[in-house]
Order: sequence, then structure tokens, then C-alpha cells
Amino acid sequence: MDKELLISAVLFGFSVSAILLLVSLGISIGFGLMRIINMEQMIYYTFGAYITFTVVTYFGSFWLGLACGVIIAALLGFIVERLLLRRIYGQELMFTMVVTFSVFLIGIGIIQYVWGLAPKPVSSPTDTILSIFGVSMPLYRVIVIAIAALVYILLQLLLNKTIIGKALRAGIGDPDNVQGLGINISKIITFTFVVASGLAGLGGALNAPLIMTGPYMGFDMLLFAFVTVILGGLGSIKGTLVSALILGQVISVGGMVWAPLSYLAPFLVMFFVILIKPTGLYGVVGKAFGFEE
Amino acid sequence: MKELFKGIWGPLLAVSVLVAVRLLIPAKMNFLTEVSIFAIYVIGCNLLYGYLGMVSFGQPFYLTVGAYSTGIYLAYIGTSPLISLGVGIGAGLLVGLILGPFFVRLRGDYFALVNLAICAIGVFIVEKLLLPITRGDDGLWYRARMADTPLLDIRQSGNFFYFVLFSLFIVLILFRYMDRSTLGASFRAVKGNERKMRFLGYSAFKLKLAGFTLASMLASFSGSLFAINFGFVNPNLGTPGRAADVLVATLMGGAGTVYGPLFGSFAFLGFRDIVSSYTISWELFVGILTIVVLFKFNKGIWGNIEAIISNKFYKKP
Amino acid sequence: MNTKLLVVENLEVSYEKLKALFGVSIEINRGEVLAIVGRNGMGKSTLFRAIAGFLKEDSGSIVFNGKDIRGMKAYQVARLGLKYIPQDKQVFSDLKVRENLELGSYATKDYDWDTALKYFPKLKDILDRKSGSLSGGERQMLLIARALLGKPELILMDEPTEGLAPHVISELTYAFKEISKYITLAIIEQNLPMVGEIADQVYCMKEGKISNKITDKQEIRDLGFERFL
Repeated sequence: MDKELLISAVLFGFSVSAILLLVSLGISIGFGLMRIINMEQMIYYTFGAYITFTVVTYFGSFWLGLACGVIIAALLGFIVERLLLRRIYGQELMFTMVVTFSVFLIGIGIIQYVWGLAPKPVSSPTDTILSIFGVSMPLYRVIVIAIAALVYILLQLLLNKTIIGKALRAGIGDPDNVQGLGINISKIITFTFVVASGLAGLGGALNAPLIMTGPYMGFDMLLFAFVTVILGGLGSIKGTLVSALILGQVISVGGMVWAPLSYLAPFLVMFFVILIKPTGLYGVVGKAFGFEE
Repeated sequence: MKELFKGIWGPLLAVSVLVAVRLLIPAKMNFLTEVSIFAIYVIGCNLLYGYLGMVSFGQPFYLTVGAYSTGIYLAYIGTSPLISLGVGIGAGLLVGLILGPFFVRLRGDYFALVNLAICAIGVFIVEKLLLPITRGDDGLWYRARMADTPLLDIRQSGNFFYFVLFSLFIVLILFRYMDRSTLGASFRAVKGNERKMRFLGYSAFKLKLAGFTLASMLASFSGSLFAINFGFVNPNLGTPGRAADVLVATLMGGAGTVYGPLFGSFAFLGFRDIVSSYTISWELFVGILTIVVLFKFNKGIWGNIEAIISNKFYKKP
Repeated sequence: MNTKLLVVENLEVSYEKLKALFGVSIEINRGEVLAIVGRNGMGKSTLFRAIAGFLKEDSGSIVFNGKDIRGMKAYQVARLGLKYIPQDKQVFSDLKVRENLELGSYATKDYDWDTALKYFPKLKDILDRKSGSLSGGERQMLLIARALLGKPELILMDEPTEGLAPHVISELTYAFKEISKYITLAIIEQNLPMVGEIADQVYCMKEGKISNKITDKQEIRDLGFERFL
């Protein structure tokens, strides 16, 4: 195997990991906290990308577009959480899955109405190519990796050093007792979802120059995001990181070996891991809102 | 056996109604054919969800398996539609038996997602991987190759309608029999309290596997019928976006009931035909419909009718 | 300043269709120690959870400090000065002892840990330990210390001595006696000797109703209520 090609694929894989991490973190936290599987998470991802496109088209600045994309995604997450999600907490898991999947479909419908069916290209903010370890790598992909790494660090700081983060972690296992301390846990839950949807929006905005933005971009990413979360274990942040790293490489290097693998390999890895450890690599089993596993 | 025959009347009535509608409104025959085929698909989903409590976001996959097996057979191997149907059902059975043991032991949410994954993989396979055979997005056409069938030439849509009705009739009888049998009760018990079933000595795994395989066979059978009905297949049949279609139809009709799927299929496809002239987005329609049904109309059409009947005729203690 | 800190009248509570409380009425006077005794499944925990805002009541009234708290959310009730410590001794196991207390201080803005930890000095030594690794007794102490933050007026405790070793129970009993000098306590207990030692009033619960109420101090000391169970 050509060494340069391999290094190139590995580096490329990290940028894929970066996007996977961003879109999957929200699902993982959402499940850990509220035992809801957020099927509509990719709507924020898709909106993040489309808003970026619109802002870039009218104002020319990618980073402004990204910022707007993240904000709008977070806002949407806020709306969905307040209007819909809080009505279905504590319901059967299957019910919430079907409901959130329907929201996802509605979101796709809205996108089709507003932006139409044709793909909307977003050009990368920088075309510079760097040379790393002797191979060429677009600067933009390096930026994407850096942003994702920064976000992960900030998130860990938030969870471990701030009181809101601690309340969140406490709420993941034991929401009743958090309430009993006078803390309004539903505010914390809303905050969590806003962060999660913002992250997904960031993922969408960052990914827009890298892939084709179309109304169905959320579908494929939904699957990969779920593979990431299932592989890492629902509810575990570290698990999401590890599995995003693994899958990024699988997609990239695998795709280099045989093209269809870049699509199939993640699923194969997931199936394989689930067979051995049905709850994923770092699966978390917890209680939320008083109902048992 | 006697139980089997006792159960003829309900399905007979249902099928007779369909025949009556077809005779009264000849223009809608194709619609009724589609409703009947889709009903078989919904019955499979109903078994999985309404009786066993398992949600699968991947039923379109099994539909595709049946459809493409039939299509490929007719395009390359043989010409008999009846044999191709057998191939389709067989493929469904095979896939159910292979995937079942792995999928069925997963926790509910993982089961749903893994099925979604296989659904996407299925689309990828027929769209890209097997492109030379399946012709990918262009679709596979074979209507010209279909040969005559004994007794009834089902290549003609009028005859095919009766063939589909007959299939539906058989499926309904069998389903009704299952519903009233120990197997059906066991299914329901697994849905209610799996752990307790295990304590009682039942293998929840075997029951779920049986249900899963039956559901995939029904979905594949339905897919095969679609394949013959349209004379071609394409990847759109099996996209994950369609996963909600069959779920909402199950809910609309009344999950966990014998005749629910008929009502659900009719209502869903009816809505679709009315609404599709107004909206460009299929997803928007299905998404909104599902939410409305989930929140406001949980028991479904037949479920509500059943509840009203039992309230009227059975006094509460 | 009401002498009647908590007045519950004709409380009816059901779980789904299953009724658990059938018109329960109790009164807790300020400054006293109230004990609720009864066999398992009689509705004692349900009563506390309904008062604290974790369960929806079918009917009845709950008045705390002159204020109608029926229908209030649990965190609102807690902020008013009514704390509830459930039976399962669950702490935020992923967090350190210190962080558990931080969360207790957060909503109440009470950072006076010295007062909260006054009767549980052992906790001061293990502030940085992960609370999941604490023993049953240490957990109970942490739960009580956490509840003390915010200087509540009433603490409801559900079987605090359950499953604890005798010497730990003595420590807790002493702590309760001291705390009750400035906070009203309501305790569900199966540990009848302890009830005899510290309670001023005892309610017996049977099948979702109050069956007896004993206010005679001597009778309580003599565990006279035992015959009603």
C-alpha cells in the first residue's frame, strides 16, 4: 500500500471523525439525560448547512454563515424541545422515536419547500493546501478538525467544571433528586438540547463545503450518527469520541481499499460490535424521570 | 381446523366489500389493488409492532428484498410470475431467518435503528453495488418477459386484482387464526412483559424470531406483488424515508387488531392520493400525519370501532 | 408564624388507575418531630412524595406555612423550604461529595457548609471522594447535609435508618435530635425504638389511610403504637 495514500486517508479520516463527533454528541447526551432517541437531530444539521448556504449567497462570508447556521439550529432545537419534546418525556421509548422521526420528516419537507430539491453548493472559505507529513491536505479540513477538538474540550469543561454541567450529570442518573434540591431540571434539559442542536448545526455548517447539500443530506448522516452513537454506547461522551475516531478511519481508509466500503464499513463495524457487546463500547444504562430500563 | 374454517367469515366479508367497491367504482380498481397489496405489507408491520411491540424503521428493506428478488427472477431467470412470487416470499423467509437471530435480541431502540441501517444498506446495494444487475436508479423492467399463468392470466390488471384479493384473503384467515391462537397470545404477552414470559418458560427469543420472520415474509410477499403489479422495480421502494409510511398506516388502522391494516392501508393511500396533488413534499405529509395519528388518534380506525362495539355489547362489571 | 407548619387535608392519590391514598389528613406542628409508621406498602412513601411535589394528587389540599402547595412542581416546593429525602439513599454517584453539596447550595444560595456538616464531621474528610463509593451510612449523612442547605423549615425523610448498622443509627438519632431543635422533621420509619426515642407525634398508616394518631408522649416512649400496626 502506498504510504502517502495511507497517510492522506488517515488525515482525511480525522476530518470525517470531526463531523461525526459534532453531530453525534447531541444524540448521546440527549439519550443519557432524557432517554429520548432524538431522531430529528439531523434537522439541525441540515438547517445549519442550508442557512450557511443562504448567508454565503447573500453576504459572501462563510464564517458569518456558519455562525448564523449554528444559532438558527440552536433556536430550532429550543423550539422543538419546548413545544414537543417536553410533552413526550417519560413516554415509551418507541413512541418518542416515532414522534421524533416524524419531526425529522416534517423538517425535510420544510427544507424542500423553502429551498427546493436541487442541491446547493457551498464553497470552502479557503482553498489553501497544506503539506503535512509529506502529503497534501486542504487547510479547511484541518480547521474542521481543530474546531471539533476545541468543541470537545469545551464540552468536557462544561460538564466537569461548571455547576450546570454537574447538574446535568447528576440529572442523567437521578433527575428527581436534582429537583428535590430546588433545581429546575427542565431548564437544564432545555439548555442541553439547545447545546446539542447547536452542535449538530455546527456539524452541518462545517460539512457543507465538503459534501453535497441536499434535502436528504440528513438521512445519510442520521445513519452514520446513529452508528457512531450505538458503537460508542448511548449516553457516553467518551464513547462517542472513541467511536467517531474509529469510524472516521474506517470510512476513509476503508473507502480507499474498496470504494463501497466507505458507506458499508461503518454499518459492518456496528453490527459486529453489537453482536459482542449489545450496549456498545461504553454503553450507559441509567434512569431518567423515574422509569426503569 | 374447525377454528380455521370458523374464521372464514370475517375475511370473506372484508374481501367481499373490496370486490363490491371495485364493481361499483371500476375506475378505482388500480387503487384497490394497491390498497390490498399494501395491506399485506401493513399486516406484517402490525404483527411486529402491534402484537410484539417491536418498532422497526426498516420494513422497506424486506419489501425491497421481495420486490427485487421477483424482479431479478423475471428479468433474467424465468418468466412465470407465480414462481417469481415464490422466489420473493422465499427470499423474505431467508433474510428473516438470517438477520433475525441477530436483530431480535437487541433492545427495542437498537432494534429499530439497526433495521434503519439495514434499510439504507439495502438501498445502497440495489442502487450502486449491484448496479449491473439491478440497473440502479433507472429501475429494472421486465413486464414484457412475464408469461401467462394457469387458471387466471394475472398479467391483466383485472385478473391480478382478484389474485391479490385472494392472497389477502388467505393472509387474513391465517392471521386471524394466529390472533386467536396460543401463538398470538404469546406474542401479545411478550409485548406486555417479556421478562415474565421468560420466567414462565417461554422463549421470548424464539417468539420474536418467529414474529420477525413472518413480518419479513409478509413484507417480501407484498413487495413481490408490487413488482408484478408495476412490471418494474426501482430503489425508491426501499428508502428509509418510506419507513414511516407503513408505521403510520399500521397506527391509523389500529395496531394490534386483525382488520386494522386494511383500514390503515386504505386510509393512508387514500390520504396520499388526495394530498399529493397539493404538496410537493411526501415527507412533510407523512411526518404531520404520523404526529397527528400518534397524539390524537392512537387506537386507529378499526381500533376505535372495536372499542365502541365492545362498549356497547359487553357490559362492564 | 403558623404553629401548624404543614396541613394536609383529605389527600387522595392514585398511580394510574390504582388508588394509593384514600383521604389522608395530617398536621405537622412547627418544631416537632413527627413519625409515620406502618407496614410496607401502606402508602407512607406515596404521601411524602405527593407532598413534596413528585406525584399528582387526585384531590385534597396541602398547605405549607400558610401557602397552598398542591400542584406545585418539586423544585418549587423545595425552594419554599420543604425538603424531601427519598428512601433509596441515592446520591449523585458520578459526582464527588463536594459536588453533591455544591448542587445543594446552588439553588438555595446557602454556602454555609459548616452548619450543614455540623453533625456529620466525617463528611468533611471525604469531600473529594466520589459519592458512589460511600457506605450506606455516609450516603444518608450526605443526603441529610445536602438537604440542610438552604435552611429548610421542614424535612421529610423516608426510612433514613433502613439497612444501617446500629452504631450509625445511634449517630443519626443523635443528629436528628439536635437538628430537630431548629428544623421540623417528619420521618417515615420502621425502626420503632428510634421513633419512641425522638418522636413527638406518631401517625399510623394502614392501607392508604391514617388509622391512628398518638400524641401522648408517654405512650410514644412506651411504643404503645406498636399494637396498631
